[in-house]
Order: sequence, then structure tokens, then C-alpha cells
Amino acid sequence: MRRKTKVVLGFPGHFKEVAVLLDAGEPIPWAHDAELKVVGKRVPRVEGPEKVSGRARYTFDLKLPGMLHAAVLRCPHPHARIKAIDVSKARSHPEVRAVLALEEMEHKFAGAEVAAVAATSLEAAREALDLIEVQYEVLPFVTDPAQARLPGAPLVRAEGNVDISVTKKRGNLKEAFRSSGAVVEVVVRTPVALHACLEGHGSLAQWDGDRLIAWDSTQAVFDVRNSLASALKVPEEKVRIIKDHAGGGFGSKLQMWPHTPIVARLAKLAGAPVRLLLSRREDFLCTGNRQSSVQTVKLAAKKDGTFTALSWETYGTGGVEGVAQTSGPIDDMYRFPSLEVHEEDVFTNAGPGCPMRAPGHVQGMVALEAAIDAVSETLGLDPLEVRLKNDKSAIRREELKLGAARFGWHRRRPSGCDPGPLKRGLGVAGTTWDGSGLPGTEAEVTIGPGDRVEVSCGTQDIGTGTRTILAQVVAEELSLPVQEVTVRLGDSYFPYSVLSGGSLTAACVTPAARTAAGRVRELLLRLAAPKLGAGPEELELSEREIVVRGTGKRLSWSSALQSAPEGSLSAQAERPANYAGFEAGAAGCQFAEVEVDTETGQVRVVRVVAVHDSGRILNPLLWESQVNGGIIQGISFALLEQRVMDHRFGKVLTTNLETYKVLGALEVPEIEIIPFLVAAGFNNTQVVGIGEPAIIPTAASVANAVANALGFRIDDLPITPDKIVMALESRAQEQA
Amino acid sequence: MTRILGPGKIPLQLDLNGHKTEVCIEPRATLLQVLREELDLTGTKNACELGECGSCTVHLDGRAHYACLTLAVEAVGRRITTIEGLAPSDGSLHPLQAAFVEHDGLQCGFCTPGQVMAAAALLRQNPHPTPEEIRAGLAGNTCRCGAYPKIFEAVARAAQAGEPRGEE
Repeated sequence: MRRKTKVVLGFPGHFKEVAVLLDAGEPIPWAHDAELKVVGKRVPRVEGPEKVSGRARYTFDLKLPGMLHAAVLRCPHPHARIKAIDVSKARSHPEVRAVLALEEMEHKFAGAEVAAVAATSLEAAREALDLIEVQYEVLPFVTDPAQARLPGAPLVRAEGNVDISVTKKRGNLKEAFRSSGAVVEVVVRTPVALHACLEGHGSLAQWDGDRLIAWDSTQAVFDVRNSLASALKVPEEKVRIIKDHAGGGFGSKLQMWPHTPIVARLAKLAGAPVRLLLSRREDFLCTGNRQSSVQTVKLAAKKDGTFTALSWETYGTGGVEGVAQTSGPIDDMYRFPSLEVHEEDVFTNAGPGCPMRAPGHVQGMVALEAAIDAVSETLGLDPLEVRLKNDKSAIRREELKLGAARFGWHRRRPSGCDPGPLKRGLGVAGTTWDGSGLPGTEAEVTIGPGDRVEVSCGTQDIGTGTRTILAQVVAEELSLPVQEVTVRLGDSYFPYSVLSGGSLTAACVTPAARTAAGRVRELLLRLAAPKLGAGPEELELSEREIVVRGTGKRLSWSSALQSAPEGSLSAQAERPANYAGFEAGAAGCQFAEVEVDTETGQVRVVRVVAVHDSGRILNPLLWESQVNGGIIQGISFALLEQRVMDHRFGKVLTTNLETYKVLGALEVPEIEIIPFLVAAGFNNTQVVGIGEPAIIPTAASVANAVANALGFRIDDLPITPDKIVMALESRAQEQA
Repeated sequence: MTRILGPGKIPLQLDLNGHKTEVCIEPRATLLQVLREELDLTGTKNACELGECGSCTVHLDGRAHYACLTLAVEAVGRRITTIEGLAPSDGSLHPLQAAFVEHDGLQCGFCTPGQVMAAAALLRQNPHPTPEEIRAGLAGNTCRCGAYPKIFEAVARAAQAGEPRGEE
């Protein structure tokens, strides 16, 4: 039986009552102004003490008795076919327990897995790799996406190197471009970027008969279970994936990578547990990247700044796999009456791309917001006013105004007018992402025996605070302090959860946990009712007691639980489909102030003001951390990060953290974060994810601020000193 | 090809977290390898093995060092403190650790032991650092999650709260 209820959705000044249909057993959503005791509070991370004391065990920290160490032989060529492989000498190494020559004979990037060894020590395993003899037939390759698109380029895939991933067309572009007040074209380039999680990728596998346990540093225990079972051709229920703590993910751990089945096969062959921890170099070559982009964006606007048409033509590469979809955000933010999108994914002989925090959106937003600034400059209009005029979201328009006031947008001067040599510039960009959740995630809550209060869910906490928000929601429902709730996650034997990606986690796991906890509370009240001589509806929970409302009568949980089977009660719940929401997903915007040193070309981000909404903020302390992280990674992408490929040899040159630079302590700006209240709807906790929205606008706002400082755009990311100095030099020469 | 020729394992005595600890290791083993693989002290993290990230920061005679760039034999005769030895042995947290928890100076937590050790070494040398000195003191420690603003806050608050206690 579904029932109808009304929820208040919207934002201050714009709340409205909306009728929603709730599934049977689905609790009434917490109202935006509900007085909650634990949810919405600055609760420190529940696993914090374990992590700060070094007790938290990550996959990289695990060992088993009799465990062997694995190492992988990787193809040194960007494209090669194996003519012959001889592993006999490796097999006869005294410390080697298993050798695996992989079936794949054609390798399409430098770093692809050829063979693997398990030995009693890592040194011996690496030594044995040198005993494997491989004869390669080196094949033509291409790593530069511009080259790979040309006719006659070496084929990376038999069906061709180019895949048209998105096409869209509406309105009349030709007419709009001809008749508009201004038409601008920007060409924005973004590099291949790397996730660079500090805990890289690794697995430990152990067989017990035909059952396999794999500890895997993953964001998706169920997806890895399914892929691994399929790779090994064993039933899914025979495979268990465990991941307790994970040292970051950012999208690079959403899928199973080849090392995981390799470890499982070696463990089977050796009859012993095997561990394989990829080195930083292997991690950078083989376990995902953010796809590059070359985006040619043409934007037309009327004289008053109203957009009339947008043309979006892009291509990029993630290597042998990967879809960029930089156009993802463009239709979700601004109104473009005429629109044409043509996106190509180009396949090259490099390690595979995969999702990276806000895939496509980060790259796309740089180009979209660059074009908006360019058209505003051409029309002599304030880029903020132009955004306010064209933005579809009432929420984001409010956020832009709020952020501009706090940031001091009025200080922005016409581009390039700062005399320097240290030039200041201001920039702004918006964000959009739909992290309002999916159906299907399940959670189980158990109370008793004894003091036990436990929530289990096969989700992951990759540093986002999933453990803490689960504990908060259950504590809230059961009227307990948060420390009394134990959270168990990261195990495919627990109730099903979606992967920890797409900013979906909070909006998937917390509604399921809340419903399950509510069901346990009902069970407990029903158990207590006869003992208290009252109906369950007259009872409420208070600090591990069941109280008859308005009377002094009370009963302890433990007394009530005595009549439960085995002294415990437990309930499961599944998160249903989304109900009505106010606006899709999350909006938000960021303002950046930069200082560009025109003598050295160095860009320093001085200050960022970020305004974000994400439905109910379950925990402001952890929410701010997510936003900080998005901003810092975004600045890092704008100014530093690039995987450098030597196209002559098809080799990656940036295979460590010395050459692949990420933003550090000295470069972090002053960050001010302003939460914006939105009663979002969608689910019973009314939370929307924040992980991805927080990174999307940063690089775009920084690039726009640099353009405001310099008076011309550097649309080739990262904005490194050499590009600025050379651009200044060539402009000086033109003027002379 | 790489071949391990020797000289084979040698016995060493390390002064580790206030205890004399015997190990028998290859002389080329790094302190990081010995801590993690021989002694199962996995709080000291391995993230780059090349001295680029600071996740393996430990103290030698109270000063911050990268364990991945230190041979175990170099640590002989010096007081080695790891994250496991920073807090008093009663299971409570060092004030810096408590401040990291309270102010959320961590996200995934993988760099956190290194950050805490770097911060502890900084506060030993400079108990009242300026915000710039805190940044400089942590400049050798990468946090990919970008927890920096709250790390700085945690270190500043711990410094304000007074003398850090601990085993050293």
C-alpha cells in the first residue's frame, strides 16, 4: 500500500508543499526544519581515532599467514603481439610458488599485464619476472588523439579509433549565429589527469576450497564481486569481497582491474594466499585516468547577454578505454534555445580511462564557463549578470548572488587592467550534478544481544564519511548517542549497496538505514508494549529506555529484549525509488581570486568562496571537508596536473608523484564555504551528494580568474608558468 | 636482470617506540619495509616509496624523516618513533591526534599518520607556529583528499592547547 503525504520542498523564500507517494513502510521524510538530535550536527568521523593512531587497516596493510607476494610482468611496448613466452625459468626459481602467463597475446599499451608470479618474498617475485622470456612483435601505435583521428592512423580498435558518444541538435544554429549580438569561439584543452589515490590499487586473495575471499582496495565491493566471479567463471555467491578502509578512490576504484583476477588465479595455483600491491608507477599506468579533451565551443548571445545558441564539438582520449562526455553539464545549467553537440571519444595506445570525480563535468565546465566569460567580455557585460540572466536554476541564481556579495565580486575590474607585475583577477563558475540517489541499496539494523546496536550495509567509506552518516541516522532513529552505533560496511556478504561513486552514496545508504532503524524501533516498542501495559503508539525511546509518553513508566531495552529470540531484534530495509524533488540534484557556484606573477608566470589562488547545496547536510563538519577536497583537487587540475606522454615512444613520463604534481600544503588558498539550505526531497533523509558538485566549478573559476588578471585566456590546462610567460612574450612581440 | 646477491640478513637492534627491538633483515631494507613487513607496524603508510608524499613520516630522535628514504641500518642507535608510539600506551590519543579527529583533519586517512608525525615534529621544534610555519612544516606531506584546511586548523588548535605530551 502506497500512501500519500505532503512534504515541504524548496529554499528560503521559495518553500512549497508537494504531495508525494510513499512506499509501504517508508518513513515520513524528515522536514527541513525538523529538530534532530544527531543528524545535522558536527559529529567527528567515527573511525577517526583508528585512523589517526595508525590502527586502521587498509588493504595495503593486510597480511595472512603463509601469504605469498605477487609481481606482474608488463608489456614495455605501446602496442605489441607476443610471439612466444617462456616462463619455465621463472617457475624453477626456488622461491616461486606460482607463475601465470596470461592468455591475451596482443597488448595495446605500455604497462598491460603479460604474466605474473607469486613468490615467498616480493624481491623474489620481482627477480623471477626477469626470468620470463618474451618475444614481442612490436606493432604500430598511436598515443596522440589528434593523430589517432586521422585516416590511416594505426588502429587501436578494429572498429576504428573514434566513437561518436554524444550527438544532440535542436533549434537553428546557423540563424542564431548569424543574427546574434555576439558570437565567440573558445578552444579549451584539458590534459589526461590521474586519480593518484595515496593508497593505490591492491588485492589479497585467499581460497577456501571453491570459495574465494578477496580483500580489494575498491569503491564497489559488489561490482568487483560480480566481475571477479565472471572473470574466474565461478558463481557469485562463492566470491566474497572485503574492503574495510580505503585510501581514496575518486573513481579509480569503481571497477575491477586486471590485477584482482590475477591475484585470485595465482592464489589458486599456489594453494596459498597471495597479495599484490601495485607500485605508484603501475598505478599511474594501468588503473584509470580522467580523459583529455579538446573542446571547441561556440556561443552566441543577444546584445543584452541572453544566450541564443551553443555549439559543442569535442574529442578526447582516455587511452584504450573510456568515455569523456564533457557535454554532460551543458544542458542542465543555462538556457540555450539552439544547441548542437558532437562528442568523440578517441582510442589511443595508453592505459584505460575511467570515471574520475565528476567525470566529463570538470572538463566541460572549464569550456562552458570560458565561453560565457568570453561572450560577456565581447558584449561588455558583467559575466555574473550574464550568468544570472541565463541560469535555469532558481537555487543557483540565489547562490550566485550570495557568493558574489561574500566574495566581493564588485572588486572585479575589467580584464587585463591590473598594471602588475602581480596581477589580480576574479572568476566565477557554477556547478550541477545529480547525486539524489538510486533505488536498491539495503541496510540491516540489529539491536542486542546486550548493548549491541549495529548497522550493516555493503557500501564503502572511501574517506567521504559514510560510516559516520550511517551511525548518525541510526542513532537519530533509536535516540542514542552516535558512539553507541557500530557501523559495518565494505563487505559483499552484507546487504547490497550501490558503488561509492557518482555522489550517490549518502542518498542511497542513509534512507535505507533510517527505514531499517525505524523498523527495529517499532519491533522494540511492540515487544515492550505489553510489559508496560500500553499500546506501542504511546511509547517512545529515550537513552536505551522505552518510556510511556506522559507517564513515569519506563522499561530498559535489555528487559524488553529478554523476550526477543536470542535477545536481539533486527530489520532490513531497501531504499525505494526517488519521489518528487525540488530541483534535480545539487547546484552551487564558486568564486576564485588569483594572483598572476607576470615575471615568473606563477599563478597563486588566493581565495575561494564556495556556495553549495546538497539537500540536508547530514554532518556539516564532514560536508565542509568534501567541499574543501573538491576545491583543492580542482585547483590542482587547473594549475598542476597532467599526465605527460612521449608520443614518439608511446610512454608515460609522469609515473610518480615527483613528476605528476598535485596541490600541496603551501598552495592551498583561503577557502570560505557557504552552505545553502535546500529542502530537496527525493528520499526520506532528503540528502543529496556533495562529493562531485564541489570539484566541478573550481578549475573553471580559476581559469576565468586568470583570464581576468591577464586580459587574455590561457585555455590550455594546466595553466603552468611556461604557458603564461610564453603568451606574454608573444603578445609583447606582436605589439612591438 | 636483477639478482639478489647478498650479503643476506643481519641482526639489528632498533630503539623503537621506547622498546629495544631485535630484527634480522637485509641491510638494504628500508626502515619503512622493516616497520611494515617485519614488525607489522602498518600505521606508517607506503604510498610512493620514493620520498614524494610523506605518508611514511616517522621520527628519528624527535625529528621527522621519511621512512622510505631511510635504511633501517641508518636508524640504529637513534630513537625511532612511529605513529603507534606517539600516544601514551594507555590507549588514549596524543593531543594532536585528538585535534585531528575533532577538527576533521582527515578524509580517507591514509596520509594522516604521516601528517600527525610531521605536525608533532614541528610542534616539538616550534611549539607556537604561525599559520605559515604550519604550512611549511607540513609541506612534505601530500593529502590527495585535500583535507589541508582542517589539518592546519587541527595543528593550530593543538598548538594553542599547550605542550604536547607523549612518549618522546
